[in-house]
Amino acid sequence: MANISYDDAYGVLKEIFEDLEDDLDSDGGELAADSKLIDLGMESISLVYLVSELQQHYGLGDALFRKMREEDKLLVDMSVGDIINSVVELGSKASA
Amino acid sequence: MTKREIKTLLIGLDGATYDLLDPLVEEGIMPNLGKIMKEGARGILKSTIHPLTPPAWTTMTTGRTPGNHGVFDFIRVDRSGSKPNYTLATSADVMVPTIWQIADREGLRATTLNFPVNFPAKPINGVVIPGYVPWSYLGRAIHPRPVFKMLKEKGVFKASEMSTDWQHERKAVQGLGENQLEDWVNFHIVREKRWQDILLTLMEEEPCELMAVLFDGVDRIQHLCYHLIDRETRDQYQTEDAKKTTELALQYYRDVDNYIAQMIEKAGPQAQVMIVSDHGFTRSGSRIFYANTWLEQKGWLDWIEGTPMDDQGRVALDENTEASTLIDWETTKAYALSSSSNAIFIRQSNAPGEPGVAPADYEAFRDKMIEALYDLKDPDTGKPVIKHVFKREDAFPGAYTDRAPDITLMLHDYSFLSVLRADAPIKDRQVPYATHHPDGIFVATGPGFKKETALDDMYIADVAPTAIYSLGLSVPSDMEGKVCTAAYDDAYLAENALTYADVEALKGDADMSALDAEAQEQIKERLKSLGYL
Repeated sequence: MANISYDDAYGVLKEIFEDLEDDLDSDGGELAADSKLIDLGMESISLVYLVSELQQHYGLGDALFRKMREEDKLLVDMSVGDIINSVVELGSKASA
Repeated sequence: MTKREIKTLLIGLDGATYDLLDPLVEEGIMPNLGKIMKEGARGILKSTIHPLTPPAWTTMTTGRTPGNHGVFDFIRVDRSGSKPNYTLATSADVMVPTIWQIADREGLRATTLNFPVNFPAKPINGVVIPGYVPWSYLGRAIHPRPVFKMLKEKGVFKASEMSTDWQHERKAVQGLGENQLEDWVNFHIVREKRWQDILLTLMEEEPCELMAVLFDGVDRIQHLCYHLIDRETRDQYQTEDAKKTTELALQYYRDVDNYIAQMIEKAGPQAQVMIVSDHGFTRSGSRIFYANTWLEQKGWLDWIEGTPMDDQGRVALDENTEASTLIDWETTKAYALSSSSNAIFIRQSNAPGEPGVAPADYEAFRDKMIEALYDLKDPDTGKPVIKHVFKREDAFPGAYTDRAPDITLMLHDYSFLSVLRADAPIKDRQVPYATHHPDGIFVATGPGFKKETALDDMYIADVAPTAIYSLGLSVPSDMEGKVCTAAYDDAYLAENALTYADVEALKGDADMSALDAEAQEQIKERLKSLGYL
């Protein structure tokens, strides 16, 4: 797997939220790196689906969930930047 | 280009049982289904050893047993870390191809609506709208993306009215008050209408050779309202709330009956139709088995300090709190994480001095636990609580046995265990409840199927190869189920030779496993010995 850039992961996340904006009643504006995912209009359970989709998109297996568990991170506490950085880190590990 | 015709229409009714459907037909509530059952072929469809929605539907749609497809519960338990963790099972956990993936590989199109463990959608030529996706993610979950926009433009996609509300589900699993049941049924009446509208729209806009839809309100409503639907018991409940709920629940079945007729008409006279359920249903007994509390009494589990006692007859925590947060992982050797799986996991220590059972002691520890479970009696009745205890290698043999729980319980009343702490391991249930039973339904109608035929019992894994045969394709040779040739008339079988495909030729997923003939035979023997074949 090739390295994943921050911009690429941001783009994927942005596309997901653009798809969801009608249902989430959000304005589809910029995703700020320090925005908490849970504050973007999703139910907390939907964040699990978001992570699943990112894992599938980047062929990460369940590495993202594992990483969060190992670091004792809760999805509801994670920001846009946190999740993107985690994806980028896993991508670089996989390509190393 | 010639418009594609539907060859196979698979209608799933989650948890449907002849015990309710036959009386509903007799009462005139489901005339269309009654006509189909009378004029077509019908039989009992035996579910997976633990009759639960995710493993059972995955077996139904892959033709493989849970030990070979990898799905055992709504959750996937990860035991690799210092303490067990779990997350929702996803399509990544399904290690073998589904019938829609097989159809896709053979150049056909498929549509699949509302089936569990289908998220994230594995891309196919056709449409996938996975089930068990919360409303705020459902739109995104649709494959391919243009279909989402088309359904929105046509006004038939309304996420909040057709998705799974997990918090709502959690409450419902615990049982609802009589005055809340009406809302519960109403929610599912609206929900099924949405799925029906989408299916009919897709039949028009995105025609496929294989169309499959799952109506899961049947299961949800029966869990809480079985006693109000069952002709034998409904008259015992005469409050205004109960009578209103009964009327509404019967309306739900009338609606589903109409939807079946509409789907079949829309599919066209050439379509072979199979109406199936992943398991049956029955009334639960009046008692709840608190498995973790029993394990605590045996000295195999400790709660973290301050874990509250359940005094409300609950089987799991409300909302999204994990049961694992209640357990002291410094000392616990065995535990149940989900009510749905009826499973107990045994923790093996990774090194001397670490928590768990030493690997060398595992077999003896498990045997001792099984013996204790069989000995367990309800102190009020003196009757045994556990009907069967399945070891994972017996219940779930295959490539993914190691993912399965160490033991799976079948309670005498088929009910689900509670994972909560209580002041006794067996306590009274507080509201009427119904649970899964191994006997589901299989009804077939359309050209090629026998008429007015009662079939011998089938196994749930038989549906996938039957659907593949119905599509005119060769059946993958590693499917553990077999084509239900007994449902087809002789002329059809003569004109449509049953052929098998080399699994290697179909292989696409990296983890797709082929069993050698000996392994397949072993699995069949085990299933036979357990009464499933």
